[in-house]
Amino acid sequence: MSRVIATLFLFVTCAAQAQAQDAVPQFARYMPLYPGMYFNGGYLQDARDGVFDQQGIKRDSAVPSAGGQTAFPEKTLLGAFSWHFPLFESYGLPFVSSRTHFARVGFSYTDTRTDGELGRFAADRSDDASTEADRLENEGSGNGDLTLEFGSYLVGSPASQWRERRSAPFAIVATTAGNLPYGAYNRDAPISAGSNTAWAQGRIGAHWQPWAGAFVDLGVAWREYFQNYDAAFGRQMPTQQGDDRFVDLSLAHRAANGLYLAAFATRREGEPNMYENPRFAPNPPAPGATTSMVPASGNYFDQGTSLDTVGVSLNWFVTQRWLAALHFVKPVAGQSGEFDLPYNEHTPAGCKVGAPNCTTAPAGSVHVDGLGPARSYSSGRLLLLVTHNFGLGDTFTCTGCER
Amino acid sequence: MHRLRTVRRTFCTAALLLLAAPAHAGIVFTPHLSEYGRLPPGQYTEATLILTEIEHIYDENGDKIQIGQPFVSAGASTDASLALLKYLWVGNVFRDTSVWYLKDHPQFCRVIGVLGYQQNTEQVGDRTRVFGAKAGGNGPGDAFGLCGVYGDEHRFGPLQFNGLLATTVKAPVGRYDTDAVLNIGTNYWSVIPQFAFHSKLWGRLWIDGTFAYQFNGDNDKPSFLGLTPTDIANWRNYEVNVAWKFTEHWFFDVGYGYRESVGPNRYEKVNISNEEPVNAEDNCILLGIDRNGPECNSTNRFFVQSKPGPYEDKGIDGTLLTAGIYYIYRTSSVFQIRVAQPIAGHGSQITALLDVYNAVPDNNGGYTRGNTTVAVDRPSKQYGVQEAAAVSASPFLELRFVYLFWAP
Repeated sequence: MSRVIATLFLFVTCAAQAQAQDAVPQFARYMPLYPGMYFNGGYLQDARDGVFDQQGIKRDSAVPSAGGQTAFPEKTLLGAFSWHFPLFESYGLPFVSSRTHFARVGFSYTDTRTDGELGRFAADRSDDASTEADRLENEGSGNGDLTLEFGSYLVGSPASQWRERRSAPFAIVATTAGNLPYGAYNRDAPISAGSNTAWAQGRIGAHWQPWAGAFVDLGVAWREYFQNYDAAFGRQMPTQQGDDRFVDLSLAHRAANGLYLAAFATRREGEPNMYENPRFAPNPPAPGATTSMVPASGNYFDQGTSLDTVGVSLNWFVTQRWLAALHFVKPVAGQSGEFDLPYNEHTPAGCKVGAPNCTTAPAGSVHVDGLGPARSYSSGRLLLLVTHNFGLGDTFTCTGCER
Repeated sequence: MHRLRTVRRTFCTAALLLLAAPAHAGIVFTPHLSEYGRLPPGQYTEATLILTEIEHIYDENGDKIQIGQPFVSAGASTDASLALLKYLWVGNVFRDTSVWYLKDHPQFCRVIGVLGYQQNTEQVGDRTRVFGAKAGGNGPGDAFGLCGVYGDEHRFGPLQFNGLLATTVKAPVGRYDTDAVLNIGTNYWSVIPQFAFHSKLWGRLWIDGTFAYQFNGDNDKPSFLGLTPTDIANWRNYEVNVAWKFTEHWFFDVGYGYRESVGPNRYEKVNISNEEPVNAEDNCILLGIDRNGPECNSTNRFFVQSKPGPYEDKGIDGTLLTAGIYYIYRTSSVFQIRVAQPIAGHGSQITALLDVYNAVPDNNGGYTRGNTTVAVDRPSKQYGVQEAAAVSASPFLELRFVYLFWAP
């Protein structure tokens, strides 16, 4: 029985790496798995109809500055392949040969759109001639980015024991990950499936089994973003996203044979985002009878973002090869990115700087909500995840090789 | 309205790209170690990651030019990454039949999926954004499918070799946006019959080569102001790869690739126009209009409208050298890193004809297009863009991983 449970546990953790976006931290996510190939498939749903604003106040709109209510409802299909394996096992290479490793590739498809006030603003063609807010769109659905991850177990998974080891009471893993921004990206829409932003991440995770059937996992990560060369929706999305720091903790316990309950908490803390030369805002100052309002050129910064969540999950081993899990994540606190965007008043209306008789004068500023990664949503998210184990064994099979 | 601020921005953006070119050539024709050798029956999977930063392209005279220069600030580039996912099946479905030739010659089929990221850096992105053209395009690329049959294996002393025949079909299912400067998808079909060979000398020197003729369909919806060709020339592709086997695990290879269009590309829907006026300098310098034209010394502003064509370029070609290292891990995986360096090429350029109109102040700080034609049929040199027209002069890096999910 212990071997069966050990196998199950080894197998469940692969689900933890399914979502590079840290949708949920699943239980035993840092436990070393028995070598083999695993597949995770999932369905995620989030209304994304509210946020925590810059002051941390919960608001009933995803973009409060647009007025009224706005939502970015999301339905995402997730997929990931994971491999746990020894590498160069018989070569005696320092560090590499003496432990097991894992690799993962994640992909997704997201159906999303903009509902409410911001969607109406995008659809409104009446302002196209007088502002920069022309040719806006709403549709941002499509395939998501491709994420790659590679990790090595620093402690708790020696390569010499992988064939016999039944459990891993304590382990530490170090991983590196990257995002290839292959996802569909519509720079004229407020929201898209893809990010158009590459990133690199480092993570350290620790796994502990204090007693049989109990699991504690703790992880910290740091992520750096590359520049978004074509920031969306008039550059209300950050051109340069601030670095993120992540912390996650999960506690899990066996509730019945094959059934596990878990609770988890996460924190994401982001440095200020930069918005380069925003072209418009959904809430521009009102022009005079013969004037028009144009954002002043410049780089603007928000005050950083954060999001704290808690959640629970129910995990059921349907068979030894199939796991079904239902997760609910509830954001409890956070901060979204906001900034003040100065405007200039052009007289006469519609004139361009440098044109004859065109004069400009400062016209105050408006408060703007950063879009995309600058939003910290307050809505709960639901994730249904299934995991399949293709079979345990050496990932890199070899015919006629010496072990 | 920005899209039509176009003119002064057009030249710089038109100079941009050609990312898909190395990618597509790499997908189909750039051979790797034992690419065309008779493999054991089975199923093979492969993932290839291509990374490039295109800072230079070739013009029609074969000169290397810096992207966007001098029309955007220095340092502009097109950053791109492509992931190629390949699945190969080798077997013989005719083995138990009496079908001539096929019954005793194994067949193979391969499908290739593409995901990609192509974005211009901010120098160019700023320009393209102003007139509404999208600076890049991400998402799934076109789908490739091919099937073929292996020839017999022959031995002459230390020499061992075989040939193969195959045909590839490229289906234009990739993401394609007519407003984008760069696209992952091509929006035209291709059919590519191919002959290839594989040989080994003393078991150490492995040579793979191919000749392929690529029939290209038409693109009825050109992108980026019509500066992608509508009638794409066919291509001839030649590739050869020579590898040296150091040990059972380590190989080194060098390759040579050449492709050329058969005749010119045609552009039939060029639509360069602007709603906001451009000044004389932009009009004459950035659009390549003869500086002796009377409008070039003017302080006035102008509108332009291109004639749709048809226009023809001089055809394109590109020559590439590659070098790579392979490590074969056990019998189930291959790790490879390769650098490809273009060494010569000719990109696509056309001379579009622009009608120049006067700009009339509308007494509201702006301008409207006047009825007066300041000049007619002013020639303007434009660069063709995207994979059928532009030829990159910058290197790319290829990381490749072959993995046998199901070992034969």
